[in-house]
Amino acid sequence: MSTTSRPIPRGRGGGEGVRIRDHLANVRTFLAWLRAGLVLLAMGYAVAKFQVIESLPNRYLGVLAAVAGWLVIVIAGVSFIRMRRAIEAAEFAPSVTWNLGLSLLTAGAGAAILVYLVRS
Amino acid sequence: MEEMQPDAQQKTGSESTRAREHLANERTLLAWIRTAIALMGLGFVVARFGLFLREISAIGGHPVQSGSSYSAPIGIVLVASGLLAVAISTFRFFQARDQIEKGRFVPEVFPEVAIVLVTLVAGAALIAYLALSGN
Repeated sequence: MSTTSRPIPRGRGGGEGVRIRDHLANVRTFLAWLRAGLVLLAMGYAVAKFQVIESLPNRYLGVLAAVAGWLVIVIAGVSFIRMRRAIEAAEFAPSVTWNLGLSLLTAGAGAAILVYLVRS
Repeated sequence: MEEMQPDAQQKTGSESTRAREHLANERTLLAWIRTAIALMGLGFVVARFGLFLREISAIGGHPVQSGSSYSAPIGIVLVASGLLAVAISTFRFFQARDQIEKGRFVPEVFPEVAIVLVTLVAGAALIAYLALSGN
């Protein structure tokens, strides 16, 4: 759509405004992933710590959730950097792998909690 | 309208997208603040809940859990990183605001990388503490 004589240096070609908004949206996506990881970490902590007495499986489940949260934060950082590069080079391609992974992970955690609550 | 924006020719949409850029910048700041609140909340729970558990088991006559004192420094680091996130992101908000007005936006990585690294270190400490502390 650009009709200016000045060449657009970076971004996907919608002009500077689109490039700015792409980068800001990337930061917000990164922060949303970071929050998801933090909540998983907190949930793992709560599950591992809430059992004042008894039950070893709880502790393993909690540590597992905390490790999963930690990995989600790693993914947040890595995909932020990769997406930033893709925006500058106009090579953005939507990927579904990590999103599906996070959904499955959360569903698994929810199912584990459900089983625990029903059985105890 | 044009004299308010000396570099308007750099943007194809000029005034019509200017507002959206500033609003996107504002949403980004709010997302940072939410993340900082989550960090501080987790830190507070980690620091205080460890103490609470220790006192509860002492009252109940159970042996005091070893290693529980590690929860306080981990919690404090998490709260401090939340505070750091507020400071960095507020600075970045005004920097980006200026860059949007000038039409020369530079995508930063420092705030994001800093907060990811601090959170990963605190998270690793928390996991180590959970996995290693005896029940």
